[in-house]
Amino acid sequence: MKKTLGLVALLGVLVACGGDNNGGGNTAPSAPNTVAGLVTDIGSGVRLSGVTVRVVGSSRTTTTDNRGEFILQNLPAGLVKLDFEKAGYAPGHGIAESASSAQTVVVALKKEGAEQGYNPTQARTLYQRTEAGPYAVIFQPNSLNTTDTNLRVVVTPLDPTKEDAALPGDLVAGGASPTPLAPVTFAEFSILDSQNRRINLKPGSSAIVELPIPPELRSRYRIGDKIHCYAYNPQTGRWEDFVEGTVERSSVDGTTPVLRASIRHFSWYGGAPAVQDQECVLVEVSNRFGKLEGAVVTARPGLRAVTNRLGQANITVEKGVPINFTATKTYTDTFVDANGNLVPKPGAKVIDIGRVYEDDLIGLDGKNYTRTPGPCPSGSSQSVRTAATNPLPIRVAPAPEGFFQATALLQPGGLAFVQLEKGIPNADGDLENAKPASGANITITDNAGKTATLSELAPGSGAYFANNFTVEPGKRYTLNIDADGNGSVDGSGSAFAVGNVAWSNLVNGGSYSASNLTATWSDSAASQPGYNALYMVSFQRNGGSGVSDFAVYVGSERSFQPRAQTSPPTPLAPGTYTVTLNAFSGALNGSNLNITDNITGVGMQGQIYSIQPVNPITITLTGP
Amino acid sequence: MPFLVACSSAWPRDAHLVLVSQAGSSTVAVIDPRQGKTLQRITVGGLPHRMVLSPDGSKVYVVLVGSQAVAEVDVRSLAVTRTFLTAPVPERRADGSLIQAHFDQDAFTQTTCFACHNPGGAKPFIVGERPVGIALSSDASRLFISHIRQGRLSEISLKDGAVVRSQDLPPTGAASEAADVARVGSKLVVALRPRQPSTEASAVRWLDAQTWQTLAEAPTGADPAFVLPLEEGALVSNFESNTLSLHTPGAAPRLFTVTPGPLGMLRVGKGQVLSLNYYSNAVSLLNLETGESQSYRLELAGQTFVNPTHAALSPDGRLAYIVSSGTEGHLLVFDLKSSRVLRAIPIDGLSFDVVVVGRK
Repeated sequence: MKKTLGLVALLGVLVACGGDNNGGGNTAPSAPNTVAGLVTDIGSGVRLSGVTVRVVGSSRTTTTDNRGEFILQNLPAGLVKLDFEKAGYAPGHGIAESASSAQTVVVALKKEGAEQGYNPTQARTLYQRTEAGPYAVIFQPNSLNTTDTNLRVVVTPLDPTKEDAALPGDLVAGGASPTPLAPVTFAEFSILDSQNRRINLKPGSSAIVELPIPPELRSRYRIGDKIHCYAYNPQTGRWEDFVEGTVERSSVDGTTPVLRASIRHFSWYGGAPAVQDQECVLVEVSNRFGKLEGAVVTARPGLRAVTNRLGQANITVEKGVPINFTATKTYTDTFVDANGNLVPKPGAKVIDIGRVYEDDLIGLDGKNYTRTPGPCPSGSSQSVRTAATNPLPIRVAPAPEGFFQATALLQPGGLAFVQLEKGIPNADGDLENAKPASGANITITDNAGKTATLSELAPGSGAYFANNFTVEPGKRYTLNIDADGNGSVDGSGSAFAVGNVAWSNLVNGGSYSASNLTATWSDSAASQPGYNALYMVSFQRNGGSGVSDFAVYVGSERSFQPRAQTSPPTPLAPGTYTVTLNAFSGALNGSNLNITDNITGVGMQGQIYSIQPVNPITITLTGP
Repeated sequence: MPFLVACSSAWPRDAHLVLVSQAGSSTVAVIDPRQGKTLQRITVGGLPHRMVLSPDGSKVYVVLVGSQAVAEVDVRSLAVTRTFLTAPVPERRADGSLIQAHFDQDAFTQTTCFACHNPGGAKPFIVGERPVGIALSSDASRLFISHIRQGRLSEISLKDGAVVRSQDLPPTGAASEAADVARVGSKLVVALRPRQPSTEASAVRWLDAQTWQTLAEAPTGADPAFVLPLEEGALVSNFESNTLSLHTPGAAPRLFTVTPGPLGMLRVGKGQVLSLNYYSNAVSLLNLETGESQSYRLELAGQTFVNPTHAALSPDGRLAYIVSSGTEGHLLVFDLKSSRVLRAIPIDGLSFDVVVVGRK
């Protein structure tokens, strides 16, 4: 679902507006040596049917059903590595433990990039561009292990600040003392020959890849910094081949900061430094019947843990950054009846999923959740704690059967507004027969811990806002959306509210030299780590329509020299001009300024963004 | 997780421990190979990588790539006794701006950047000139340290831990990063590489250990990772390829073929070298006289152990302790006679180097 920035109509809307089920229990069966799963599209959240699921190292395969689910039973004990394949998507991978109770794999697939032809006897740079910049692979001649000269190269970019659920496996430096890895930038590289076979590098050969640093992380990783890089090995289910990459300027566009590194095996590849500042957080997983033992909790950036009989687990996370928690629990030979009860039914299964996206664990609800500095002590995930704790709650429930779409607007100094719709997604991920979705539970939290629950404006409207909650310019806001109101979070996302934006050197009625003018403006949030606003500036001469009567700027800088788009550019014509300035914060497709999804989840998608228009001013430009 | 065991061949009679630098956790693991477990973790500083053992076996020197320092570990007490800076604490950043915190906190009196730049401490965690290579002087009174960032070579007196000499090595072409240093008799051998990733040539430079005058130089692959000192020459692992190159001053290098990604190397007998081949999850046993090599994948009980980095020899010379440095870390006990893995002992992921020390 995309929206053209200039057509956003939500501001007008803003101007106008200003249970637990007691049935069943937690005793439903969960068969040993079983792995169940759910496969979705990372871009839309749609469940994907017809995905081939292969157990690595065996001949076992299955296919996802029309709900995007699968189940594999009677697996050998130990680590289970799974490959997921569907036409049009980059290869997906997942891991789970075949253990005493069923485990769940939640996999999101990413639509693959465009195919590009390549003759491997040539040196060549191929790239796929996104709003973050060009994702490139640089081939040396004759470095590929093939004699076929008609190859197809597919580069599938992945921005972990928005799409980390599509990263395969666990991003962990494991072994005796596991350490989380913090994802920075990734891509999948597929080289296919004429027979559609995957091609790799010759033994002893390498290629160079360049992966853009996501805009949200550019304040953390500077030019010259070293970042650890890894390739995913589907055979072992681990990230391997650690080498150091360097942050440099893109060799494609000369400006984008990219992670440049050497690659030896084409697969998923990217940068993820070991997390130095860790903390141990106590979480508590519950479903509609109470606390849940044996739920698997995964944190990113962080580790994985299993809840004890109190439904609690200690889990190591990176300190001071947003964390995605996902908890899962699978019941076998069980289904959910109309009252939400778990009822025995041979061959059926129930997959409960819950997500919590925490911008920062400090101060949520005005409290500190139970946590300690450093990694969790070994084995503590299974210890049973006494009651004097305040665990972070994660509620799980079956993922929604329908499909939801959220559009959230943060109005600096004003409201937080969410429009929620339910419908049937088409092949592009857009909703058809969309209707307002009532009954959702939506919370909004700022990065200082202030939280509010949004209320539906009118029954049946699907429009939600929070009373007595003012969006402060420059703060980061996180939405957690339980779209179907069954207690588990189905989707989440975050964005900065645009800061206070104002002209620095232009005033209404002012007069300036057309040849010397550089317009500058300020943004009170500019120094916030991770803040990356887009500014749109236009100069339009009143009554003029020629090429020298108009200049426009779209970008992240806070200065602009207005020039007519002649060749070479020339000063604007003297005259009276209307000058506009707008600031935007959210996710954009860089090529055509479409607002793109940054609320992700299972069975839902959406966008959260902020816009701040500055009142237009009139100025006079003078000639030489 | 129990360690994997293939069989229980006779163990070396000399009681010993194995020390492994665990880069991801700022520690050195103390491992009892007989028990197959880590007995102790010594916090040493940021990104511990290469290690050398003093000739008397009493000290281990650990290069702290992320803390611009070397940690001295006492083998008897298994504790850090001293740290040495390998380059001065800077007053200014690369852009010329003043690092005020260094003045406010009197950072110039510290002996490691880890005192301030540690987990939970000052940001960034990884700082400094990135020391990486290490070699001892012939009388074991000084350390030679090579740095990646500026191609700097430093000499540290072990008497007082002071940097007594430091010099930026002039680049050869694009080769400007001092990736490793070794000592061969009265000469130093420095591997200078281009900024990675690169396809340009590196240089192997011979220096007089006293004067640091250049004696000879020869090109090598784009990414030399390690220099193994031999009696007359030095063996260089070309990490970007599947080759090792034998360098002697004034002679053309001699190439040997192993499997892709050679990194660490270990002498395992007269004229024999074990090459740790990172990208091929294998080791190669190389005969330097004949040039023949045999390669073995690192596997045990159906499991492949990935990304070997360095190895150390057991006191009786029969076993090689190999660091498998994937995100799932293992110390492998490799029997040199049968050329197979006997045990896999869990260690931290992203571990790097290994030394064998006597047991107190």
